[in-house]
Amino acid sequence: MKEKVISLCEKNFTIDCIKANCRVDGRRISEARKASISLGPNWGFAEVRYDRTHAVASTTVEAITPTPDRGSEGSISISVELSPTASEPAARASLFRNTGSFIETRNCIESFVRDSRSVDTEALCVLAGVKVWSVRVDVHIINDDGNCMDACMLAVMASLMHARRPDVTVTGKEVRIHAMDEREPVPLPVHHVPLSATFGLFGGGRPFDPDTVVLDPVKTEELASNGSVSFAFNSQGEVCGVYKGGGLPLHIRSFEVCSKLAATHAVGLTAILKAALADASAEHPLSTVRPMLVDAEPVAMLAKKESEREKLAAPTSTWNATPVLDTAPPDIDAMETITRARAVPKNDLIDGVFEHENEDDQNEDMKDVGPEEENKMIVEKLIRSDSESSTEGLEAAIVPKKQRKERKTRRR
Amino acid sequence: MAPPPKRGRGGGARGLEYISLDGLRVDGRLHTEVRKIRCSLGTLSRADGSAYYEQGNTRVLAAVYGPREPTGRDFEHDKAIVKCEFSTAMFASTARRRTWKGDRKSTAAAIVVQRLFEGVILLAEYPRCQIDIYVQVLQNDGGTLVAAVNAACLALINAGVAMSDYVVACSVGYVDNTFVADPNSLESGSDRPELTLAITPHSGKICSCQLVSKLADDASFESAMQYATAGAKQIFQVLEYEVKKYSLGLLDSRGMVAL
Amino acid sequence: MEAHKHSSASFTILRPKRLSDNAEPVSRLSHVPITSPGSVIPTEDHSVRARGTLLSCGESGNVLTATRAGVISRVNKLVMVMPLRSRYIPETGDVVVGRVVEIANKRYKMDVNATKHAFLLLTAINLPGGVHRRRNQEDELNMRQYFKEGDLVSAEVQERRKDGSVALHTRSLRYGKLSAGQLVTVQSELVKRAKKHFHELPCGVHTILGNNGFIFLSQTRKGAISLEMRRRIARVANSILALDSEFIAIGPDTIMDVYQTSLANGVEVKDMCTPDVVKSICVGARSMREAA
Repeated sequence: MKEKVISLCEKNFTIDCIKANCRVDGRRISEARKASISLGPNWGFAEVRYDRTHAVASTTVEAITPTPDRGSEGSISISVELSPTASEPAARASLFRNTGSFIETRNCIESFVRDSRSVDTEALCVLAGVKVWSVRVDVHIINDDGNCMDACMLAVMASLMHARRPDVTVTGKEVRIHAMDEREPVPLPVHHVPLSATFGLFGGGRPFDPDTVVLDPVKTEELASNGSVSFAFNSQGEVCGVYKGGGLPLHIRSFEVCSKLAATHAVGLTAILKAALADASAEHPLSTVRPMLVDAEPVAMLAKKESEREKLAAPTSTWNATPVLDTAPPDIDAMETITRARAVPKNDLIDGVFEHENEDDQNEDMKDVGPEEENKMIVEKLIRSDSESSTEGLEAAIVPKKQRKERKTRRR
Repeated sequence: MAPPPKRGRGGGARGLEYISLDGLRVDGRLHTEVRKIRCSLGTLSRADGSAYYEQGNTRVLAAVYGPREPTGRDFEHDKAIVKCEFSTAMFASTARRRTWKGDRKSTAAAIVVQRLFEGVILLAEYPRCQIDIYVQVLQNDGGTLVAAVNAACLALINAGVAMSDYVVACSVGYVDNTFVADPNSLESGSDRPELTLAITPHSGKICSCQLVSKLADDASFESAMQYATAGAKQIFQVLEYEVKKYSLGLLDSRGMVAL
Repeated sequence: MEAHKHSSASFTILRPKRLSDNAEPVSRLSHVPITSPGSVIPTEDHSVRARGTLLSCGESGNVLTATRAGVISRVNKLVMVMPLRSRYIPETGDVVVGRVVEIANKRYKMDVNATKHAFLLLTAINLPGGVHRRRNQEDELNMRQYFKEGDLVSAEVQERRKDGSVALHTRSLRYGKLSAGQLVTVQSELVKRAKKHFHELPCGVHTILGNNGFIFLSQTRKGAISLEMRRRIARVANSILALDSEFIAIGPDTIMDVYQTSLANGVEVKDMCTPDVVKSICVGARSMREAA
């Protein structure tokens, strides 16, 4: 795909703007666009917007028989597709599958997600040699306004964290997979959340020329740039991956500047992601894009959600509304008024989310609510206590299958 | 090649020690030592530029055609385009491969090499031309991308393509809680961090960088970069000497015929 | 570096034969200012830089670096790097042998072993019969009658335009379409610019030494080519290839020297390509070159 052209005048203007530290959209060179995430009505459906760059990801989980050489591991695969709606060259090229830059994006994301072990493939094993979970994330870039890499990465991680797989009972050699409405679906084993920051590179290219790096380039900047570098960090400050696939040779000092910026950027993005997960229940109709449903929701549930939506004072983002400029976390007070009625005690979270809670309270809670509301409440508890504790709370909530199972057996 | 069996960090499942008590690795190297390099330029007579490169047991052949007329419809009016193809011979690994071109790793490597040289070759000197780089891996013992980059650099110098500087690559692995320069296939497992770095040695700028798997923190990333840069500088000395030897040999055999 | 030889009739991919393994040239020619990409070229003030160099602004002022592997050449204030190997670079006045690749709008695109195809304008060829007239629409439609794709044409470089494109012409009776002969490809640096490029060798072979490294061999007189003539043409071709592999300048004198040596040594035409034989027959030519 010949992603051409930017006129010389635009290119020179863009570069001059960058030198003056006031980019074409008014940002500084180390400032990124605000990300907004909405998690869909279906489990594992995430929509990410960086102003006009728009990517949509969906996770599907399937139980398969593993290959003989990797019998006790599940698999995760990612595919990135450039939708013909993304840009004019993309529409022209939509007949041809082979677009070099998106092969790079996909390889990059897979390397950041898979090779840094963010999803524990060993925990995706149901019964060694017999059944494993195969997780597949499909990303579609709906609109390309620069920096698809970061938007896709965020969409993938949001989708993975929001996804649920069916619960499973293993008795001896027998595996029984429960339907999504039969038993509460279980989240995926995500250990840490790598999020990427991409920088556009500008400079002369000759041996001793200085170079400039620009965080989160817009499309015009991307076309005017001489290459890009992506860093993936998680909120603990671990570097999960670096990809610089050629382009302008970069001075090592600029490289270090980029990595520091990327680390702080990842922390900010993780906060936005957590806030979005808190807003996890279906408030976004998204009727135009309907991916493969992970679980089919009965109409009664949807109606219930409709009535609930009216109760909540917090602003909701809908498909046709003006783009959300800032994701403020949902109005916690409003939520609390609803949940206080159920008399959920406020607890300090330590590892193992539910061990210290009052059993009676729990049972009372679980009786009259469905799985959706249950999850919402759990996540709300986490958000409230999360302000005190660190990210352990969030990750602890995702991992403990055991505790949930125990709870269910108690329920019976 | 069948992936090595999964091992936890720090020692193998079968008790394989990557670094012995003396600090020597499996093949007797120190952790900062790069494998032995042997290379030669001008091996293929029909190509504009060619090079054969060996780094330990990894052997790679690179050929450059160009600058020449573009073969397809796409060309740029003000600069050259670079195309790269990376293929691995079917006999290169211990297990015979079924595909030798077009699989994901090869296309990924080809894209990296192409983008890398697009940044270093002075494309503006060859408008409406095409430069083709073909890399063929003859034997794979880890570090094929590194060997490909180094071999392609030599081949481009042999072809007389204008470049702003050499490009030298080196990789760094992580075994037994230490960084090791230039890991071979045994030391570069599927779940271990590996950093592949390509730099322009005279100015120290970074052309390409790929980190696979995660590292504990920023400090260790910086130290991995330092290992890689040091390793690349070692490799550069070998390459520079080889180019000088080749140039002088050529001048000698020409008897200083007017160039 | 060892060459991998398993048997006598084997294929070595490692080094070309002329490269010596020892460090002798390195020490002997250490005074030669060779350079490689990225190396800094020491310059004086007010030096003018030319081909093969790159100026960049470092921290301590301007720095001149080389962009190719080659020899630094300084002529007065001009500094440039002469590359060791490159494709043929056409200069005005060169005689070349080219192959028609495409017929485009009023011009023929020719492959002359350079970085880009050269073009031969319709107005720059001689019409059959030596007619002088303006080319008209009919001529344009009949372009294929004069030269088609795949034809070998000898021509002269008319000019090199500013955008790098090269224009050829065949405005002389000795240039034109070539037929009934053999093309030999050598490295373009070996064919020097000389007064004459069309030679009739004493053995009866007519050669056109193209500056681009394309050499065309044919028979002097017209008519069918006899078996004996074919053998001679083959021997001349192999002599030229021998000179090419030994990197000796190609001219009628060196070609004939190798030809005579091979005859004197009783070498069969088909054996002239083996490396040892090549060395032996080129001995005379090499000394001739060194004396010059």
